[in-house]
Amino acid sequence: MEEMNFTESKRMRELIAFTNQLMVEGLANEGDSVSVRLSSTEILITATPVKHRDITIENVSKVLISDDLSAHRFGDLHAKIYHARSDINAIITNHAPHCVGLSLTESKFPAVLDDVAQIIGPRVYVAPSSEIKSVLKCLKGHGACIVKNECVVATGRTVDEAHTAALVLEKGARAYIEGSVLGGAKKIPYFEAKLMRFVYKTKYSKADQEAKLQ
Amino acid sequence: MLDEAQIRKEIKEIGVRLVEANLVQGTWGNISVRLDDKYMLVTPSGLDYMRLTPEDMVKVEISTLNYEGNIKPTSEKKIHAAIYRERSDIGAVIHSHPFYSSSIAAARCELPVLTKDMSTVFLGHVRVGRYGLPGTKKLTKATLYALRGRNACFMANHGIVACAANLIGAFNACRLIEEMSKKFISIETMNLTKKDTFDQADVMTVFRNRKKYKLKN
Repeated sequence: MEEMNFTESKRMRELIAFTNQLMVEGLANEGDSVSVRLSSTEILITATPVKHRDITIENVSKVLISDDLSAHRFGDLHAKIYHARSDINAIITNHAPHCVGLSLTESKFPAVLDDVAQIIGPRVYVAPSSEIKSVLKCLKGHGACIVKNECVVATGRTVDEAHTAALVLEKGARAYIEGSVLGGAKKIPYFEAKLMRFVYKTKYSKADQEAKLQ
Repeated sequence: MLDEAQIRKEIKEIGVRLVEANLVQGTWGNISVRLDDKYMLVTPSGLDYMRLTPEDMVKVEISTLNYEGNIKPTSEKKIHAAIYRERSDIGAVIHSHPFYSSSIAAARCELPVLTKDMSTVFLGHVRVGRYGLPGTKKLTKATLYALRGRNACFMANHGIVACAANLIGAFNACRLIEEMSKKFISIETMNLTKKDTFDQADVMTVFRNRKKYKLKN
């Protein structure tokens, strides 16, 4: 890999650290991909397949968004999302079990936890396929979505935020499912959920995300 | 007065332990310690526990919520302060969002006493407070009501509050509520499936059956 500048090296370290963290949390495995934007044209993306527990600099590629990324699982999807959404700087595609399980029966499900409403949005949408149009529609105004029977797409302004989105989405899916043994999870009213999302994006997380982008 | 510098370090350490024990994710959750009758130290707003330094903890006046320095305290400081005002026996409060506890909070369910430990640590069953938006008076009031005579409660669709005389006690209460929440979900699943052992896959079966019979959430 060509020599990197300070910021690129920092992004590389973050990418490796959070990919390994996802593995420890049981939210990433072989066939999952994590990427981070370096500029409007370049990204770093984990190679596929790779055992994320052992991921090192050797398993990460610096590629152009316009390259053919089909060698990376969902690599093309990552590239197309970066191309369409300049506000997204990091993407995780994983196979979180509760999320993928829910995607088989639901086309969307409500936020039943405040942190899901804040980080993901009032609803979590399930895209019927990994076709970019469909995924972008489900991501509009939301931090993450699920592709039916395929994967979770978690995004963020930083890889840290994308990691939190992946974690919180799986927790929200789990709470929605587990709530059913306790009489059913209660959804957060749409207006309240929308308001929390707005406050999170514009106020609550702003300083932290800006600091992490430095 | 307690040694403030030492307390700052302890809050940082407990924050890291919360993350390591998977009892909190990202910047979510907050910790406080009562310094004396007038002040508490709380974690700041929107910064994650791994990056926090002891110096980032914010000294807040319990009665007015005025704070020292330029770092903004957690938006949930009202709940922490209200608990200290109401309960002189409480020296530390932790608010977090562990996985199983969050499922119970989402279902707005009470957690019955399942073990002797629960009676000792929580002083009874764990109630759930009514829903309120984060940072609002409604949420503070609901949390205080659910906490009366107890050392822990669920916050509807949100998470938990655990308190104790000291920080380690509050951390242990957090851990216990998560452990007991897991146990409760297992018991309820076994009751519904009429099985003697718990299998996580059975939870999905119960979920699908609810959907099949159109039982609304």
